[in-house]
Amino acid sequence: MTHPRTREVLDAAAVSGAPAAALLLTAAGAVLVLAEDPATSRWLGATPDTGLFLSVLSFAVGGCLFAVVGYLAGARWSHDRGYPLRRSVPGLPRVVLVSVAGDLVWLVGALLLVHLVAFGRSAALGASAPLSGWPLSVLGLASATSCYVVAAVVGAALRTPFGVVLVAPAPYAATLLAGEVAVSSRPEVQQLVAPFVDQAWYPSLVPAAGPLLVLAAYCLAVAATAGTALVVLLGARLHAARPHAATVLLPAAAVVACAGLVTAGWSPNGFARPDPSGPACSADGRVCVWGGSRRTLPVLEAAERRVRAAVERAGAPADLRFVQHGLPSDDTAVPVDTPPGHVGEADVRAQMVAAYAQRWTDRCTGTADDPTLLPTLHDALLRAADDGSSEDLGPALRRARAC
Amino acid sequence: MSSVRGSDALAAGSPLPSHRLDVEGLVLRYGRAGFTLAVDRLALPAGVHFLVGRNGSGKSSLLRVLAGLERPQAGTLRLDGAEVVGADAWRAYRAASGYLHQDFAVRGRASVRAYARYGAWLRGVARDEVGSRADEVLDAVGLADRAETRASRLSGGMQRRLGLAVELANHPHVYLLDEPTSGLDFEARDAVHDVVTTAVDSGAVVVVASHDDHELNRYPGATHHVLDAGRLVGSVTGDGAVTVQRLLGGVR
Repeated sequence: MTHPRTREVLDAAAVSGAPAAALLLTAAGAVLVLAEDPATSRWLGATPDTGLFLSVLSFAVGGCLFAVVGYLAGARWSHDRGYPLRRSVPGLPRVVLVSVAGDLVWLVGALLLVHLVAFGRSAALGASAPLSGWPLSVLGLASATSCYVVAAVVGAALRTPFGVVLVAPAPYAATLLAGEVAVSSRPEVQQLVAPFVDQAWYPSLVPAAGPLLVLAAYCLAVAATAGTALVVLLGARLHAARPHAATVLLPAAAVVACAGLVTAGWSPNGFARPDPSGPACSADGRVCVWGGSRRTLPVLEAAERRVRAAVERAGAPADLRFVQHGLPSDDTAVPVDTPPGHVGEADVRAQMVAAYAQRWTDRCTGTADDPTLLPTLHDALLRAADDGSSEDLGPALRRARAC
Repeated sequence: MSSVRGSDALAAGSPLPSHRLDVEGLVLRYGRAGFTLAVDRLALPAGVHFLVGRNGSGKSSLLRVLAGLERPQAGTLRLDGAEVVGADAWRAYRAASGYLHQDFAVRGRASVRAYARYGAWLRGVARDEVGSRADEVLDAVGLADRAETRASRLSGGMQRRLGLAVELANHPHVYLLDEPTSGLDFEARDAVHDVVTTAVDSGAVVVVASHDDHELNRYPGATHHVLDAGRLVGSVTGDGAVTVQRLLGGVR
């Protein structure tokens, strides 16, 4: 049996005007998520990066649709046609709260569905720990919710439904503005203007729940402050029961406190922490990847075996190890870049070949003596690794040793 | 002076005593030089009361004051002798009164049942009774068989009945109906009259703004309060042959 308070919200959802926007949001989100190509994607196949993408999507796209519904609701309430606010027995603050909750049932539900589809698709491509992106999801939902409530205040103030054309693109505009702020002298303010994290963390970083939840709390405090202001504004306009204006002070203080925490604790990678799962290595220790990228280990192992075989056939020592980007590297442990979605053996093999070629020419003074040596070695080793032909590799290696 | 009782107390219990609404010294001004509604004294005991007057005479304004939608500059409103003053008293008064306005219309995609449920909640019906009360009032206005229809797709008359259903949800003691049968067919009018008759039988005060001669004579013993230019100029008990023309002619 449904709890009566839940029933209230579901009844409000049943009379809400939000389903159309929720449907549009689901469709737009589904297109963006399902049309992404795993081979070139910056976020598919890695849970943290999927969460980052969703934090941007939630604010920049979701926020616009949340703002549309919020604005129109605010404008509608300010007229109180049919007198649902002035004639209501539960009182204006409660009716507004329940109506907002009714709209958000649809909007948050739609956005959550998009999040689930995105994380699900990433998981299907091998992303590990599909639930570990939850702090970024919470941030996305909170930032979109704040767009709804702030837009509702603007709608209640402007009253005309036509103002929606100004409010609807505001979150997207804030996203563009955030790019400008990010390169300014106060990049920490970016998060207050556009609360999302626009970075790429794969493969070494995972979400740091604490700072992300502080940013989400900032969004919710903004929403609470705007919500209280909305009730005060509507109360003043409709001569209805309303909370004392001083009640705005509490959520406003929370906004200031959270904003202070966000800016004080900001750093370029402040919302991430190193992947605590550490490295996962092949049995012989020649290839290591981050624990979260364990699924790529066989690809890297296969590439390393073929390159090593080619090197050894040429009579050179196969003394390099390969580690995924972000793991500790040194002279003998070479970092390898891997895309989050689809890791191709050929791409990895090319990086390993390049590392050996570079190592063999390190003693040479460089291109001034023999500018063709490095590319010749590289191409010869690549062919040897690809099809086993070593006839070009031997002479190239001898030229390198002669340096 | 005590204030009006809470909605739960008002809604509870079986046979209720006759109710009564009193207005004294009411002054409502729109703007500095705008329309002024001034009613020195208006007694509305249980039964049907018609507000009659030309367009702009103040009928709807008076109903809006009685519905708590307008805050007059002066005057008192008493329900059953208790002055309605203060937020809690107004909340209880709203719970005890139903107001069907002239341009009631439903928008959106909600079903009739969902609309009635939400409306019942707005009218202060207890959370665990909202569902059963919604079904009850839909049955009362003859919309039970349309419960799953989208409310905005109902005809104008049916939408008006749905609005009435919502106002019935909290078993009000005061019914404020602004031209409730305007534009309705006979079936819809009958539904409204059934509601009014039931309300009167239960001791409620029913205040109706109307221009319709047929309606004015529908309830034997109804009182007709004539408004002119924002002032209450007379009250007449119906004799079955009342016409708007006669009432207004009598005051000029």
